[in-house]
Amino acid sequence: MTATLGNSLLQLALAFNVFSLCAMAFYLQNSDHRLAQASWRAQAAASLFILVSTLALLHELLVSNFTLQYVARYSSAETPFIYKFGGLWAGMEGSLLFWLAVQSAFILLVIVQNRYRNRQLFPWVVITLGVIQLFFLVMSNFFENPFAPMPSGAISNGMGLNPLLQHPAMLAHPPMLYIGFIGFSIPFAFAVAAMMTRQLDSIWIRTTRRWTLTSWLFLTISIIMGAKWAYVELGWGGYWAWDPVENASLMPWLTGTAYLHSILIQEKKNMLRIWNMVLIMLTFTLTIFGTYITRSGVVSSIHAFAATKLGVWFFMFILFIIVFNTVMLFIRRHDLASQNRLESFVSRESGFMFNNMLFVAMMLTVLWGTMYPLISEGITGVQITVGSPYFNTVMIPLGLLILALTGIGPLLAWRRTTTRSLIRNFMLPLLLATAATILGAVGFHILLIYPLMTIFLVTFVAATIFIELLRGIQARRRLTGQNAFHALFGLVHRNRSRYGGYVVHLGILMMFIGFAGKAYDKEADIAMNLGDIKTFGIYDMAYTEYWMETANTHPVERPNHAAKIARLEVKKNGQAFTDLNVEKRFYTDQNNQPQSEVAVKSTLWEDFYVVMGALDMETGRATLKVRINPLVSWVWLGTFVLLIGTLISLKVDAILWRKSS
Amino acid sequence: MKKMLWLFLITALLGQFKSDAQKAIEQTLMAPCCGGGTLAEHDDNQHTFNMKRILAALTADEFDAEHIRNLFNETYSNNGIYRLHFAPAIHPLAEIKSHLEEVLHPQMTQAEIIDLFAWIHGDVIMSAPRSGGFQGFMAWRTPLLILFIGLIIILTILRVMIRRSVAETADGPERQSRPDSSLEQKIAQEMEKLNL
Repeated sequence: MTATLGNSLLQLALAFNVFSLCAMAFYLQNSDHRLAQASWRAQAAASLFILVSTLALLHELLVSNFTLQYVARYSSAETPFIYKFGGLWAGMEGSLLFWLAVQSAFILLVIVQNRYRNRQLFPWVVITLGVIQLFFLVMSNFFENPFAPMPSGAISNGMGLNPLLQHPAMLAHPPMLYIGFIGFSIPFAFAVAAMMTRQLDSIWIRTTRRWTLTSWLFLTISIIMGAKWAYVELGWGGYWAWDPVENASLMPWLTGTAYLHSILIQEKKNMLRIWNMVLIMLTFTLTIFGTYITRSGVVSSIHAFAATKLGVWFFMFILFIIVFNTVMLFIRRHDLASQNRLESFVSRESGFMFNNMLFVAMMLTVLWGTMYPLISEGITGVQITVGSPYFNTVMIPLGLLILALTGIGPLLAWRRTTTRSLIRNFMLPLLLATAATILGAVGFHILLIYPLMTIFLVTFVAATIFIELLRGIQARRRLTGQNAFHALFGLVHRNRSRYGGYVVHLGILMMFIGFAGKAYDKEADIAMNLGDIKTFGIYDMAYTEYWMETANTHPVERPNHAAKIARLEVKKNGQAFTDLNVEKRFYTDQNNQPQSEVAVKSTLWEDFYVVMGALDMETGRATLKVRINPLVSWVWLGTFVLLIGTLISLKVDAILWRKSS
Repeated sequence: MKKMLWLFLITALLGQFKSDAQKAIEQTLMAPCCGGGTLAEHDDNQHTFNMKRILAALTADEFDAEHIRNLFNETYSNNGIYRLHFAPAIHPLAEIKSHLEEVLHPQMTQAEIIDLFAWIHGDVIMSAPRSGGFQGFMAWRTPLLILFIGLIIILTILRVMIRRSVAETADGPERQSRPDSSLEQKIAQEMEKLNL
């Protein structure tokens, strides 16, 4: 009954969507406002139907309705209740519907916010979002319907959820990624509307600033959350492998970050109007491209869904977006042209432009590396592999260049920077950076070039940020007579965007410290008998106990798997450090598929990381992979700082205060 | 049980941090089972584990040719090469053994060890394109080309903007105080809408 309702609503949503598009097209012909109203109301109705349809599928997953193919494939009676939610995006059909649901929620929000504002832009926003929704509705209704019944009727139990997805991070990572991806469709829709109506000033940018920043934030956090999941779940000891699907999420992040910087120039100087259009169109296209990569099977990835016939349709849709964007940019090139003026190469404007160029170069490099196996096969007939060593080689220098610009940019003045102010602004940060680098090399024996460069640049950028803050605090104290804390608070409060940005930069610096630690990780494969003590660097590891837990002995904690567990007592420099339980799980609803559960003890300095290879329950012998991963915690901590910085920029507290009052 | 036994025997030998050479080679070769990452990044299944054992033996300070031969024999026999979807061995075991005899010697360099595995599995096992040849040239030079073209474009745009600014300064204050063309266009559009 619920499935039938969900399916019917999905079909109804398609009908309402088509009606909405037709009504708005007629409105644009004859300006009858009743048609416009009918159009956005139909669009809102279609979005509501999609949301209810998604809830219907979720209900079927939660009650394990195995009469549906989708539920039978991605859930089982033993799947823990919380992970049944994860079934919604575990397969192709559900993930498409979930894509639609997130977009529908956004459409409703846009309609509520703008139905009586932005009168000229609004019709085209509704049309653009409607066309995107139409594409996914067609895919969901005709190609990958999540409500398709089992051909042979109900079965007694489903196949269960992939064990890799049974992790808390996987409950949050996909929804956040979708919010990030789909959120960029809103500024894109406003950009298209601005092009169609020739309202090409900064109104569309100001209207969508919060959408852009929020989408970027969600995309950033989801990428890091995916990295955290890979770190604790895949068991190879790293968090970023330059997998095609990881790259697919990184590419729109790179252009989205460039766009966030670039719109500052348009808002302040009315420059780079064509460039901003290009960036937001590129970002949106890359979000669809990312969705295409995971669903087409064109590149092999452990993250990808099984290859389906959807690839062709996605390819056609991307082609349509690219052609449309190119034609619109060509037609409106004169309207978009701005009288850009600059007095010197050494100015903040040029700093922003170099920053943008680097972000786009990084995106093109990632795109090139991701697609190169296909390109090389197309040209020479021989497929070659482009793995992490390639990306590390080409991307680390580019990343360090971006890091350098993060520090240089704020030190430059708008329009022109004099030599005198250059020396004055750069001298102290450069001195501090040099001192920190020497300390790193001499005091900590860091002699590799990239970690040394990272120390130099991180110190340089941090110094520029703190000097900027100190100057601001001093000026404010002189002006108001406040103490330092109140002056800092007032300073940030008066210019949220700027100082929020600095906090985001601090978060990025912390992440770079974490990235640099990768150069010093250590790994060993070891075998231990019960009672053995092994020494690794400053750690002593004692194997004290082993046992097995099953669904029978632990029905609540382990309803769908059994686990072999080894207990290790770890000492650091001879002092008690931590006790670790290392697990090897066997998922009973997945043909006893084995899955290692990483045991990790994190400190600010390094992670002690253990993965179980095997455990013989007769003899108690265990094979383990032990890793020491320096500075990884800084990557996760940096994300928190980045989150705080973005919230400051978004003025979230001001929004909440306004709402509550 | 037998599998467990050799797992323990070998891991007992590896009870210390991997050498830099072994780590570097593991990062240069893809996991032949699925291509889901380099050997260093991949979880240990039977074949990846065996390959790591060979690498440990080849990069060890003490050279044990017989042990290495046995490892190759075990890894590339019918039992050892199961489920290599991404980069199966392209030579039969007999040819691998014969090739091994030609190239095996104490203190093999990293390049020699990598070449040996690339010969066995084909270049698809390399985690990054080799720098030589058309494919390598295209793969490695394109990012530099992108950066170079990007720099040229930015520098050209900046020069145009600076020239424009200099020209306006030379034109005098009247020229500078004129509203920009976008504003003029906007006024014209508004007037057009109002039928003025």
